[in-house]
Amino acid sequence: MRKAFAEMFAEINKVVVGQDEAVEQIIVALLCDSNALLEGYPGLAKTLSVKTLAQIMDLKFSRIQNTPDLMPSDITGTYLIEESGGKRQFKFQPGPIFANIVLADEINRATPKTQSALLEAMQEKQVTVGNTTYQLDLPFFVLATMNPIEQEGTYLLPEAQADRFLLKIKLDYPSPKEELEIVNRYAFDSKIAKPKVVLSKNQLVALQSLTKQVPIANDIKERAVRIILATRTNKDLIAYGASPRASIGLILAAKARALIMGRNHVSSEDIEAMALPVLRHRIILNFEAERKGLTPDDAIKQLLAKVK
Amino acid sequence: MAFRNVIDEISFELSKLLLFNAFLNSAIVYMASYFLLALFSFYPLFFSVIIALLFFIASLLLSAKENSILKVESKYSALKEKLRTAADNVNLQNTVVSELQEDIVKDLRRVEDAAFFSERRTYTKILLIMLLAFIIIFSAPISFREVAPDVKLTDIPFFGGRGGGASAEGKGPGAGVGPSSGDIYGAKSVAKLGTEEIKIELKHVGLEVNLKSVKDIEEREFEESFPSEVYAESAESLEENIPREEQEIVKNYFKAVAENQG
Repeated sequence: MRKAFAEMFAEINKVVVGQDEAVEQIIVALLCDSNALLEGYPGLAKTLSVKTLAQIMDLKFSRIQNTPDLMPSDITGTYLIEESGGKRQFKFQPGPIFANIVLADEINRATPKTQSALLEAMQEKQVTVGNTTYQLDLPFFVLATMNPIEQEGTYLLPEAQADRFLLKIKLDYPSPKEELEIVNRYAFDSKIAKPKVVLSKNQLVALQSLTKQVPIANDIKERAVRIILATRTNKDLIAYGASPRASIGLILAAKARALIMGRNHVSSEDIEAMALPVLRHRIILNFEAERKGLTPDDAIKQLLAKVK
Repeated sequence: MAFRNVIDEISFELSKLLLFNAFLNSAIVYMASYFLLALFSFYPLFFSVIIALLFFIASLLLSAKENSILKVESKYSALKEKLRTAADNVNLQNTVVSELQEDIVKDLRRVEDAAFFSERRTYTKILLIMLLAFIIIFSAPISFREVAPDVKLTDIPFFGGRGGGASAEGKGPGAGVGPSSGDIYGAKSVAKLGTEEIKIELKHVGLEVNLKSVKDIEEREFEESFPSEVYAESAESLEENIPREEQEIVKNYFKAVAENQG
């Protein structure tokens, strides 16, 4: 198992330099059959990472650039009048949502109406246009990106909507060494290595099923739940804590990480590693914590140190 | 082999070691308490057994609370979190769990009882038991009364202090009901027999053969005595009371019967 994932990472690294943690977390979300929010400054290979992932898994990839004038039908698809044999009839033209991996770029720029259309597809794995419901092809994975700067004229995702994303993955700037490698690879070489397919669609579905089978010890499971409960009770830092969906998400994400690491059981290390991406978009800091300049990540780290 | 058996075996093996350890510790407690109580002549056998028994039960209860799985994990880092996961999910049947169980069975082959058994500590405990045994034997003639004859046991607060129990002289509040001479050893005059000084020698009971006391077998003479007249009496014959004149008829009758039967 570990060898298969190592091969997968090697193929991604042919195209993407650095961002190993982010790529690992995207795969975690994929294995959990869930969706992820990607937050990072422009130019940090968000789109490239997701596109490469789709390539190595032989999945259909589509990209939606969200703008305030984007309509739900632009995402789900619409009926077009088609003329054949002198007759006119409506034909459904599927939108970009009909793919395996959908990259919703800058989701916070779309109107709430369009956002909810996308989120409904994420949740139900189906879209309804007119009176007809269309099932989406499985596996279905939405990766929405958000830009932490230029917040003017954006529609922030409501907490209830953000809760539907399993992980909020943060992309940081590459290290100087990695940045030099990026420059060498993309500013000089005319030929960019093309990643090969290492995992089929069926294999991915099988891996998703295997993820749920990974066993977890009772004390580790209890600790994960206690961490989530601590987000609700720790009022000196957090105003609003995480929902039970976070508990499910944390356990599931830890299972997927264990599988990626080649382990056949969940370790405490998996819980600690996944607590940050699972919780950072599910908690709201109180005024006092914000005044101190704390970030959600700082608060989660404090909770992790407290809940042993 | 079902994985549950593996978990049970781990618990069983560790329980045996815990039992042995608790037994050794209790033996030390028994010896130490026996020595201390014997020093004060305070029912050493009875109370030391009770103390040791209570200690044994307490250590068993405390060790029962310890998780044997976590104990194995602490000694073998390769099994950390793995073993408890498998133990918690022993009833779960799927590919990943089966693989985990196989891994653990492989890793458990490297687990040795010796890892949970400190030879040095065990030897120390055994030596301590032996040392205490010798101390008890050699200190048997010494008691607190000999070391400090003026101090009474009831003067020591630990043993009841001023208010507890009957004193050696029967003066305490717990002394027997009824008239008392004030001396539980009785009147000294009773121990005297007239004016003679009594010399009593207590000989120990022994089964050793004293070669000096072996004697030759004494010869004994037996007298022969026979009855003055020896005679025998004839056994009485059974004769039917048949008249002589009818004997011939009876004879003929039995003869005819015999012939008819033949």
